[in-house]
Amino acid sequence: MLSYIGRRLALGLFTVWAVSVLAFLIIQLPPGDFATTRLAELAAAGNPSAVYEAERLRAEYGLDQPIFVQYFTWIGQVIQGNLGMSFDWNRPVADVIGDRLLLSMVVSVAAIIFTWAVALPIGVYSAVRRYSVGDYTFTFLGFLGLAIPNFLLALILMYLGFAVFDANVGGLFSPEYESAPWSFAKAWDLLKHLLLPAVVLGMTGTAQLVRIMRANLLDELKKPYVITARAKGLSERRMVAKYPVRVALNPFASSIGFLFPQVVSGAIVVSIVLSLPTVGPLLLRSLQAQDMFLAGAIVLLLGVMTVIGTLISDLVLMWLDPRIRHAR
Amino acid sequence: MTTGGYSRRGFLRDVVLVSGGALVLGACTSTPVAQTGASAGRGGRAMAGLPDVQGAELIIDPARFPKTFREAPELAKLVADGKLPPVAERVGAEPLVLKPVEGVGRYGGQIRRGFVGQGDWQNAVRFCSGPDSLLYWDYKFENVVPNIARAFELSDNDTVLTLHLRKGMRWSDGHPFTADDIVFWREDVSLTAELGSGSSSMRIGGEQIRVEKVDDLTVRFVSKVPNPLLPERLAGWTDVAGMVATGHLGGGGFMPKHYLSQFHPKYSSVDAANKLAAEAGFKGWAAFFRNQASWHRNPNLPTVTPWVLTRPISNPPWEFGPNPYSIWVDNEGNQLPYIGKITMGNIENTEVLGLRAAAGEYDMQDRHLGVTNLPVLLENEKRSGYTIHRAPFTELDCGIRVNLAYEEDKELGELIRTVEFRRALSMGIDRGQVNEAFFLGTCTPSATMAAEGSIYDPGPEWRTKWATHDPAQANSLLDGIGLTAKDSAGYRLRKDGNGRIRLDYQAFPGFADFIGIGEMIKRQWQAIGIDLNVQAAESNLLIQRATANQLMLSGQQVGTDDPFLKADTFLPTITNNYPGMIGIPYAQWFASGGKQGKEPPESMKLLKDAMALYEKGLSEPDDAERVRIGKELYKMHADQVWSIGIVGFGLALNGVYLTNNNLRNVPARVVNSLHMKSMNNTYPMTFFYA
Amino acid sequence: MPDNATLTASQDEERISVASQRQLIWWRFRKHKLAMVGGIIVLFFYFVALFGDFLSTSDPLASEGQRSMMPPQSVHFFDNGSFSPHVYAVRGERDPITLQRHYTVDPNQKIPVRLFASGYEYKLFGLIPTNIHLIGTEGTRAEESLFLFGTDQQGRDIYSRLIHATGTSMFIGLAGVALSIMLGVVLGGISGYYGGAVDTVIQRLIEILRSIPVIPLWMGLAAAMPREWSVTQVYLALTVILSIIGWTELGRVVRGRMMQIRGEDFVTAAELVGSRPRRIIFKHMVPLFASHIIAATTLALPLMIVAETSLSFLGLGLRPPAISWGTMLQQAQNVQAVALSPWMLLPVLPVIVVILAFNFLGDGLRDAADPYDL
Repeated sequence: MLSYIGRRLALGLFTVWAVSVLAFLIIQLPPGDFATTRLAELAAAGNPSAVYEAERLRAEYGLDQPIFVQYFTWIGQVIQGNLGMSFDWNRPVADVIGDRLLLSMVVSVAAIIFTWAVALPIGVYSAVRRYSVGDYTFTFLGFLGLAIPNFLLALILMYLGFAVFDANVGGLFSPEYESAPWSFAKAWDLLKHLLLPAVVLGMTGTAQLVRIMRANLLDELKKPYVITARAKGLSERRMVAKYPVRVALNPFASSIGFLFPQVVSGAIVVSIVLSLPTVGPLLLRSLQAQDMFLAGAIVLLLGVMTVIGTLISDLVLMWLDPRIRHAR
Repeated sequence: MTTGGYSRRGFLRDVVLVSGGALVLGACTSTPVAQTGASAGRGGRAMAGLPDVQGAELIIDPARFPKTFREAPELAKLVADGKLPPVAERVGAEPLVLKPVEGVGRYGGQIRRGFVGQGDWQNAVRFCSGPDSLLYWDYKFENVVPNIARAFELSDNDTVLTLHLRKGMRWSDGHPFTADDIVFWREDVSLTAELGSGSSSMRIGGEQIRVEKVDDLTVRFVSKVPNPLLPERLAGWTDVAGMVATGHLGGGGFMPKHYLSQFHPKYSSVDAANKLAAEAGFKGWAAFFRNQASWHRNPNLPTVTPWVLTRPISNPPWEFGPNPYSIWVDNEGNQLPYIGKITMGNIENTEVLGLRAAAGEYDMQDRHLGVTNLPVLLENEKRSGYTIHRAPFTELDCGIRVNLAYEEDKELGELIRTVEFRRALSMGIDRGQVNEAFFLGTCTPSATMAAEGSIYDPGPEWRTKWATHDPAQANSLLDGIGLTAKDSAGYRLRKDGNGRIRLDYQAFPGFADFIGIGEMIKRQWQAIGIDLNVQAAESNLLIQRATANQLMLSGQQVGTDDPFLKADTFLPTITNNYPGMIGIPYAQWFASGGKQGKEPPESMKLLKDAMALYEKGLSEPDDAERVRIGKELYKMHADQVWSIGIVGFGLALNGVYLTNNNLRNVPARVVNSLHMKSMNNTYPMTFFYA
Repeated sequence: MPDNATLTASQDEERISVASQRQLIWWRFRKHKLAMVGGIIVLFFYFVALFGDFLSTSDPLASEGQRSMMPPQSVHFFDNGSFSPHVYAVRGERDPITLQRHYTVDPNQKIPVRLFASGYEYKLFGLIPTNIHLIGTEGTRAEESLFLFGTDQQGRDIYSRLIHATGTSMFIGLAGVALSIMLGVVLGGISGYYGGAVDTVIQRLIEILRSIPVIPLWMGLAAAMPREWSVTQVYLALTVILSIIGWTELGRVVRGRMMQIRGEDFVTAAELVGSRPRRIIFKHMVPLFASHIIAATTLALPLMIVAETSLSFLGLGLRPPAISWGTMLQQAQNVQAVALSPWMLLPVLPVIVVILAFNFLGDGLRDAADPYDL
């Protein structure tokens, strides 16, 4: 077991390294560099003659060096725990990401809670009342969430919130709380703003989860122990809740590891539409601006999270199901 | 002692926006359509055009100066606590006195705004920076007036500009503001290669302008040749016009020597400066210095703006507080600003910004209110308690930049350098359609031209020169240059037998949908047998392609409102950025005196003539003659179609500003020009809440 | 465990025992009503895609500023009691104060609408030149008079654009999915069959690809495309990019199944007879779960369509002037459209319908895939 974990960790390290190389290459692929971004900015500001700025930037940040030199400079820093300075923000990358990581987690957790709160009951209901009107209705609604492009849904819901309910528009805080220190009122404000992103982001995952839950539970319901339980006179409701649902939940428990990186990268579009101060829009902007260190750090971070998530979920599965352990 | 007598710009006095012959713009206080029937007076006013340009009046006559001064309560408390000197000491002996549009206000409140990411640093610069340029324009955009400097005079031969500073004026940290700060900027920043590489506005006739300290409060700018436009450069949107606008790029015109010298190796050593930088996480002292000189990033930077940074742009919300040493006072001696706090939320996308504005979550917003969202904003005026004001742009919002030096495809390059071909392209465009579909009919169809009423306006006939929709004439022009062979679909064929004449149009969406505009023009050019390949590209990509001389046509804002102050897209003057795409190799040739780049060929001889005229105008001491040259340049540009103007003078480019109905002293209309650093010319330091 | 419904009568049992696997799947599939409906809808959409020009009324690129943002017209079927479908002429004007364009119907000017009318010229299947359209107008050009779903900002007919977009969006999915299935089966198959070092390499590749957030991958590769490429070429390249990421999921599944059946007797038998690995994998092993692959394909297609719409939103996918559901939705992605011109949001309907249809179809196929199960 320990040697297995050790081997997996070593492979994980390799994967992370490969991700770092790939990430660096991919970020470099689009033409131009951060200096071009600065030039574009100056051109848009009606200040096109400040060209020397671009050349200075290239020299200062080593953008004029060959790509492998840039890579080793960067990865050397990262290994020492220094993520470098964001060109775009002129602040240490760690600070820039740090501000948003917490809020990203909050949004992700809210979305996951929404998904589970909606999907699990529907999944159970659909399995127990298979082929009933309710099963079809809920399944259909679940699929609808999958089918509506969520960026459009976000905009429409946001507009309705504004036009009909006079709700605050976009973001995670009202303007008056944005720079305020944390307080009960601020947390309440955050909660009010969380509903919309949680619903929009959660919708997509719901259909999938309903389907998995339904299938898992159907498998379980056919098992002999269910018949035994029924034969012993357990009420149907208690019986279902007590045994098969628990077993059917196992795969969910094991997938917790992935959820965060998935939600972060899947939420970019929605976060932009809703103007959420999360990591997603930061990643997109850093890529567009070719803010190498910031983009690299975020991609690397997500890669590490996925690798750790995979490892955790594999371990959880092995712990839950001895058969898998032996198969290795 | 005052401004010298050149009242130069009479434009925008009686400008009524005309589109397709009909008046389309409402009054500033527009009402929803349901109400117009009830009140004929308002409707009538709407039809009469826009209100007059307004702005706070600058009081220069010392006899009208206030004798006593008052301040905001929070500052008064600091004085009472002994943490600040009294207000009369802080504003100095010669403050900057403004008479607000409506009247004297009262202190308190905050202004909420939105900005869009780190690239939007000029948001505050163009709203609440004062501006902090040494000189500025009056609100009508007619005369250069004193600003941070108390007065200025130009010598008879226009070679020496003398600036007089304000007695007792201080930086926001209380340190006196003197001539040393200007000399420090020029010698230790602007002329230091790592920081400034000299400012392009500080060169004329190939020579650097010298800055000399006469005494603590007097500075002379000495040019080798007549430099009549230097006051305008110090007043406008250039790298010498204000520290907050270009300080982080090594420009500005002055810098706080007492603060910034600690980061400068000349005042310590390169090692010490680098060490400071490394401690802050920067690579090298120059990067750190420029960061420290950024108004939007460094809250510790002493400034002379009415508001000082309290929370940087990189840690949103971006916030400002009152400058206790602000030199701005109203005509009764109240230190400005009235509203001490400005808070700007970071918005990831402009649609959310538009919605927030419509919901009344902003007190003053101008940037990023897209023209297509105007109907929604107008519809919600009543409900959300704000007013939309219209400030039409002084330039052309939309046109096609043409790369006259295009070489990648020899045959197409030659065609582009053929004047009849460019004229035909221009006449193949139905400008009214572009105006209706993309600008809600708020623009005026025009060739690349100065605004109506501008001192450089050569007359209305030039606005339509080769710029009417006339496919028949366009076709005969094209037939006339031998492009008669067509394929089965009606497209004209190349002479070398390689299929259709297929032009490339590349653009990025920007403040208008330039891709959609390209699609529409592609359709319109079908009628003249010209095929257009429309491509969307990132702005980064366009810059790279522009500097590599690979762009052919690009949809963007074109032209200028002043050929001498900002010739960017108007003449080949920019050597390595996208605005120079009119001909970067030519610009390099002109800039290097023929040593680099490429000489314009015989077919582009008129371009050389235009550049010679432009150079002459730059140091032409006779104002009337310079204006004549300017008009001549516009005429040549329109006649030669060096860029294809489409529509302009509309609301697309920061052309509307939204203000909370409780705000007072808001001008009903302002001049919307880069040189005015609009919306600084709404004088937000005089705003107050009723 | 036999399903009661399938085995009620003994002649059914008889029939089932002699039926081929193909028949069994079909019978089973037919019972899945939703899947049948889904299948028919999907077929309908591909039909629309194939006959795009015929079904359109106007040239999808015909723009007219004076018709910007016109709401959908209503078609009147009866005129004074007799069947005579027509629409009314519409005139537009801009309100000088709200800046909105207002359109008024002119009840005196009727424009007859008929089937098989002549309209703009096109080539059916890219071969047969014709100008006959399913629906059209008489007396005027449809480009000037018939706007079933309204117009967009440039005054282009949304109905016709939607029809054209259907083609683009339905096929972008197809090409991408085909490629990712191929990659998934081949790489997953090899990985599962050989195991060992090959397996480790492919599994690491999958893990790495899955560890990179998709957006940077898309951005990097999309930007790397040469600028001379036309919209169509970019679009093809895009499907390749989509499939580079899309195959990993199927690759894992295929590998798992391969490992399961690797040790079965028939594989050993085939090896002993001297079959080459390629033959064993593709002739003997892959057909065992071919139906699962089909189901996976149906479920992957809607994901591709969704991916295309969100890529276009980010300005990374198809871009105008290409017409796809994604580019159309991108144009509707603004407050103006949602608040004042909601018909711009119409492209979302086919997206929803087709994704639902694909999902139900896929579910049915998966259930039917293994007719001996249950």
